[in-house]
Amino acid sequence: MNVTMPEKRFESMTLDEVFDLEARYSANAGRSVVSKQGIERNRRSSAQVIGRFPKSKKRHTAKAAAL
Amino acid sequence: MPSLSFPIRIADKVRQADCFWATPPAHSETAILETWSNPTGSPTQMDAGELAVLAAQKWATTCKFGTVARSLAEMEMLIRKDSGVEVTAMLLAGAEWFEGGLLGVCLFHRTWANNVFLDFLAANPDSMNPSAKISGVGTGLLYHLCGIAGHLKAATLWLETTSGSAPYYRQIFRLPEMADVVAVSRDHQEILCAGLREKWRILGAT
Repeated sequence: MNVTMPEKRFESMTLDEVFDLEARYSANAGRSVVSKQGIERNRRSSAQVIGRFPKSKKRHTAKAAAL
Repeated sequence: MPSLSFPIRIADKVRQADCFWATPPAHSETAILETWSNPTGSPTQMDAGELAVLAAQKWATTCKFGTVARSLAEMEMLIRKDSGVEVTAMLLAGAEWFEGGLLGVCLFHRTWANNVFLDFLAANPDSMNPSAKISGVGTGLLYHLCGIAGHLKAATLWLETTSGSAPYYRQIFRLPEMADVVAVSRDHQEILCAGLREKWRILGAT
């Protein structure tokens, strides 16, 4: 059986638990205008391109050696 | 007004950080904030970097065209002159022992209706690195802002959360659910301040 623990009220949290809460979620506030999901997507696709790069470099090296 | 320092946690140790009002135009501080943009960090670090840059830009614009205050006394003096004045101020967190100089920023406005609008709050993205393990900067700034709002007798402190920080604000202000816009009543501001004072007192006593 799954039992969900009730969330602790702020008043009964220790200072360490308040620090943990901020460390986990941050206290960032304000209107962000840049899509972080977009940056993440670009970063992932860049990582894929970089991941493929050694193969292509190898082919170039082999071609250069043949010439 | 509460004292302008607060405890933060670094790894497993607690150290003191300072909170101070930016003195317009605060070029050196805004130059530091502009460097916080961190497109290679975690989404939370990216948010913090972007919010700090936006805070620096808005502060610079307000210094040029708006009304800014460098202290609570100055803000009160401006309000006495014109009860409907809109005033902007910037709280900064720092510590001598922190190499990066600034630990956090909080740009806020006293509105014409005597509420307080927290426009931007961010901790230094470097402080969020797993190696730095610094926490409590945002909470400390929020404590001082609630103190200022209480001093001004602002009925409401309102702010916008990010998708990442919404659970933090829901829990510390005892909100029924997560929300992108949060309006904190004076009672809840005081609960936060009193709660933190008590936790800090216990810390000092141990």
